[in-house]
Amino acid sequence: MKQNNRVIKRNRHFRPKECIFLVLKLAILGIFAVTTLAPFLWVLLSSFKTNSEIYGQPFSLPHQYQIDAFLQAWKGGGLSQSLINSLFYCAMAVMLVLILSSMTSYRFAKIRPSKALYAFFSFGLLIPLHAVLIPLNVLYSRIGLGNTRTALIIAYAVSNLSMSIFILTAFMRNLPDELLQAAEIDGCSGFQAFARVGLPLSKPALATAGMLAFVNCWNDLLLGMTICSKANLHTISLAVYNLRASFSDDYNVLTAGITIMIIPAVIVYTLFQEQVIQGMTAGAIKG
Amino acid sequence: MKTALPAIGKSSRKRRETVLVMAFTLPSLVLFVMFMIVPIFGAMYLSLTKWSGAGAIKFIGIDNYTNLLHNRDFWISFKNSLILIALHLIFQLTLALFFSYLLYRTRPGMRFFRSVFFLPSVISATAIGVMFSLLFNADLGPINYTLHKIGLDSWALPWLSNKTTVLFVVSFIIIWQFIGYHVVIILAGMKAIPEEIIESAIIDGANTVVLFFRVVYPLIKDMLQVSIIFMVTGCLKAFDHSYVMTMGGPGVSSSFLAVFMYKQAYSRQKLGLGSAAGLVILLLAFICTRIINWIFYHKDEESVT
Repeated sequence: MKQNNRVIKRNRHFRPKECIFLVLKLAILGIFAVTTLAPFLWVLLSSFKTNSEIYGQPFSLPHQYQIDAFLQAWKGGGLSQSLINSLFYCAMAVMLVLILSSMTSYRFAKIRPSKALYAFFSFGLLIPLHAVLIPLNVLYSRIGLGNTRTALIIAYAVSNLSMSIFILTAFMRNLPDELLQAAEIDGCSGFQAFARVGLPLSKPALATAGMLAFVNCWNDLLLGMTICSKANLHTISLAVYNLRASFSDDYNVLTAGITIMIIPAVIVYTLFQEQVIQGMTAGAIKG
Repeated sequence: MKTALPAIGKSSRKRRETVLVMAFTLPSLVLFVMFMIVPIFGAMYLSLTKWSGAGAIKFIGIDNYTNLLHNRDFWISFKNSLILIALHLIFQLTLALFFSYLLYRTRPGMRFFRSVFFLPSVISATAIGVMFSLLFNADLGPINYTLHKIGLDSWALPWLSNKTTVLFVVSFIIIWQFIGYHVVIILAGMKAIPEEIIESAIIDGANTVVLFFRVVYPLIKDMLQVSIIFMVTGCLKAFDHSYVMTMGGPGVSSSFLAVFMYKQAYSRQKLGLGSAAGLVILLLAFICTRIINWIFYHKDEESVT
């Protein structure tokens, strides 16, 4: 692909008409990029301003960068507790879903394929969360898991399980059998071949599936809202949502809250961009 | 292990493999069945009952479904969801196609723009919802501030409390957030087109527009199909934006099916009716997917003959 591009560029002669078109195209793309980023920039800038500044000059730079709003959202808005909660839920759910799905995918790809069972797990891809939300909550309270961290972590893991198995099985099918067989000949048990050879080779797919699960859990509102309603268990989404009730006119606190919530997602996106994009579009784009 | 006799080795190997298969499958299977499959059957059962979450569960047959058919709020939410789908197909699909083709034909900066466009898809709908409820606030929001400043006072509507504007504001925010998502999917389809096909079309004198309709469009149909399925099923599941910005209000003017479901179950304690609505969402998602696949299948048939 890259080579092809180079060939075309070399063959193409410089023409002013094309140059104008290129500038035009870049301008249109640039405008859309600005409309994509502008709201976030407004939030970021507003979080450092005072309220009267936001209302009076909504688009100006802060006269003086203040972090009062962050402190207020952090302490008064309960974002400190819910940020830790959400990080914990996400980390545990991602770990759980990766452990479960990597084992099951390895079985489908390398030990004993089963079309029927694989189709059964894939069925989960078609089910909207909404259809299972109410009975899931009923089930949790019946088995004594109502309003617990465990319940939410399980719900996050299970809701990402099908997709994760889909991503990992597709990847593991392409792992070379020879390497895994060689490991077993060298005295590894079946499990050791999986843990020492299969898993390390599957790192790219694990990253993709893990990133997808993280983004889904971090951004979830509905599951967190219905499963963990006790204040000390709130997710970050619910805390930011609740900020609006307690700080309805304090735009700087609200924008600070949004900023706090967005930062982890943006950091993850900046560091693992390709994995995040691959994970989120895995259902559409194969490979 | 290696010292085992061949005959025993074979059967014990088989047995060990079975143990491994079990150990690798059962944990996922148990959790999946217990917390995904059982709840679906639970929803089917609950949808046939009347229950407030406490006290006795009363079996009432298909009354919840007939109630849905006569429920005004349900039909408004249903209509709103259809409008959301229509707006997605008109605006999100067109814009995603436009920008992905533009990116595809503009080599420099492709990676940069692609990552910028995708960014909002990664960000929580809750944060986006709160953000736009501030921007669109009637009194304090910067949008109305700007409209007043440039003298368009009559345009400065109470966007989120006006019954006619609210649905469109919420819809366009969802559309805006996920354009980049579909740009990435469609762009992947375009990048998979062999370079030679494009080059020979250009040599044959195809301009950008002809190139799109005659060459690129037929070759990205599969990706478009996926994109459209994601758009439609996503619309049926739309909840966060509407709930965060307006709680489906004022009244039910910006309520979608999922918001209706949530409110019935958790604000009005009608778990049976809510479950029925949840299953309607599931059913609609299946039906829409089948219809879209059918349409694309038949289009292919036509183009062959």
